[in-house]
Amino acid sequence: MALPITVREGSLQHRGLNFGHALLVVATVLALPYVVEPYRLDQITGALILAIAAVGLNLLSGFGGQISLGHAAFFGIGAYATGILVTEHGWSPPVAFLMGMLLCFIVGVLVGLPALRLQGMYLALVTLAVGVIFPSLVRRFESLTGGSAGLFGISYDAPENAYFVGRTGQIVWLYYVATVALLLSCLIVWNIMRGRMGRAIVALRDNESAAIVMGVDRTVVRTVLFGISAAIAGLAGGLFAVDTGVLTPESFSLLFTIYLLVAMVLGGSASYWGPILGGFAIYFLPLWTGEITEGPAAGVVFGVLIILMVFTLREGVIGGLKKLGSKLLVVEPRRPEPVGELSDQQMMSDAAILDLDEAPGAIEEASRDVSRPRP
Amino acid sequence: MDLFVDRVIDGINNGVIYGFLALALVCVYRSTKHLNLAQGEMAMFCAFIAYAFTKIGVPVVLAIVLAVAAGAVIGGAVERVLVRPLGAGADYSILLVGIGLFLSLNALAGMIWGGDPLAFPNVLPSAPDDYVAVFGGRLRYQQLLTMALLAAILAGVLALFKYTKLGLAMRTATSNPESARLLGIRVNRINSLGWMIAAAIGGLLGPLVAPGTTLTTFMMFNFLIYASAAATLGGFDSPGGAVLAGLIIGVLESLVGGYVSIIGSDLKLAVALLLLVVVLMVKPSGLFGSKQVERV
Repeated sequence: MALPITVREGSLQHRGLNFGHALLVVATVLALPYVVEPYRLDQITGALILAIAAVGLNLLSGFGGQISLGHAAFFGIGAYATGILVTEHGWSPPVAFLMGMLLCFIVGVLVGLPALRLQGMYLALVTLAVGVIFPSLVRRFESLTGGSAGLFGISYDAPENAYFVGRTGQIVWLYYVATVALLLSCLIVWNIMRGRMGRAIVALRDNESAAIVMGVDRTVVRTVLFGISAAIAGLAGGLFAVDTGVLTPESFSLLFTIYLLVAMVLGGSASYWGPILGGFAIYFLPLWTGEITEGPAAGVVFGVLIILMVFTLREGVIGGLKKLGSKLLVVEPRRPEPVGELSDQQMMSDAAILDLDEAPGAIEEASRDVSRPRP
Repeated sequence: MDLFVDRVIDGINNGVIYGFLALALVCVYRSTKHLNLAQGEMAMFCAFIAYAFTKIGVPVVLAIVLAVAAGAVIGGAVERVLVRPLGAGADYSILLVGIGLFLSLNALAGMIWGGDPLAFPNVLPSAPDDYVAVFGGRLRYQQLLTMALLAAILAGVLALFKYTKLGLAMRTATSNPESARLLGIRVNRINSLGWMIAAAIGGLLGPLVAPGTTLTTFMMFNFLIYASAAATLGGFDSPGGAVLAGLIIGVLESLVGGYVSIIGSDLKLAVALLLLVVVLMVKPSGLFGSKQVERV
């Protein structure tokens, strides 16, 4: 068969492909605990947590076009809120996660307020301020946070169940918790971006003045966007707290935000799978470069790798995969169906459809444009 | 009173370093409109290069001159190889390139020269009694030299922009690259020059602060945050504003950190950045930056 294979949108093959795609993801998620070693599964949980944070950042920076250098702070607020509530006050972790998310949402909205007036580099610097201040605040309020020595003993024990026995069972449990949390975050982002709010966000990113003229409420959209993005990062932080069990201010430095940004852009910003892939890349790449080489050389390899990926994959890993995929498979968009009785105009609309048929690429290009940030 | 003078002088000394690095950031911004996150690491690397020269017996002053030259070469190379091919408007990509450069330069320096702090010689005599007394405070020779050099470079940069044909071309290339090209200005070369000047300024700063901070791979990290704050506060396209803002931040953080006990040394950086947020809320383009006007 000649490549690329063409499939019509909405046809049986297309639905089958989509279903198979989803099935593959579900099967992988369910099979992982049985296939990989427990220590590897533990690492995957770590990557999942990074992926959640990257999904949160992507909502703000990828879809919303507002750069943030302060997401480590939101991640940290979520982590410390969970840590303190669980260890000091004996709350159950899921409730603590929710409280952490709520707190992050409020702080996020507050940080979002200056973002109304600022753009680009200036906004980056304000969020940088938040990111840099957070670790020093943690050190300062030692009695609450444990300061530089750290906050210990945070855990989320698996329920009494034959499936989650012993140390391995605990690892499997946290893996499932992280998977569900990632799924929830993706659902939140997907739902926002599919609806009215999502179109408002993209419109504000692409042309602020035009969006405001069209009736988009900038104040509400921007601050809520900041809040939700922060809340998702906070959820990731809460999971990080129960996963590692120890919190120190060093974990939430500027470097962490930088890693998140790298994850988002490397994976492919303003896409759904991009930040997830990026989260995995940013977790496993340093581990692998550390295995290949020793000590500081690993850092050099990692840095060079980032630069190389910027040059070879301009639209991120997802963009590269899509380009590759389009060589194998083309999904032809659904034909617009004539509405009502159009016997007179039938000929004309048929001709129009024929015209469109000759250039399926153009339609696809046009429909894809929505998800791409403008330079 | 003595303590007050000491704190002010301390603040000025730090402020000079912030202003120095902020000036480098402004030079890059004025050429290609990017924030070079690796600016501090490039300066650090130059300091190590100077160190390597002193180890083989080159006099300190000559070693620093060589480091400045090395800085210019590194800056030009980075612009040519890593920035220009990405084209205009690739903001995220350039940010990532900066991060990649940051990580690899940092690790490379650690690989070549090891992770332990190294001692770097002062240019001027620095025995305990080598200082100039100012209102009972002490200004060391090396610090005076750094100040003088900063003033000289600032004057040079301002004069370059204002009085030379090259400077005029640079301003044109920044404000409207398209028209500049049509006028026959080689915009690419101008951008390259901006990066070279910036990296050379960093190459001078690195060896000058190395005796005080000791030579380590992370010596510039905090300075970069302060310098970004200073450049933002002053307005990213204003060299004089950036230097002045650096001094303001330095003195203010030293005084506030010294006198307000809740803040102490932990939250000094926080104070500097809060100040920045407050200023930006009132004046979004910085104290001396030109306002960005957008045509709808």
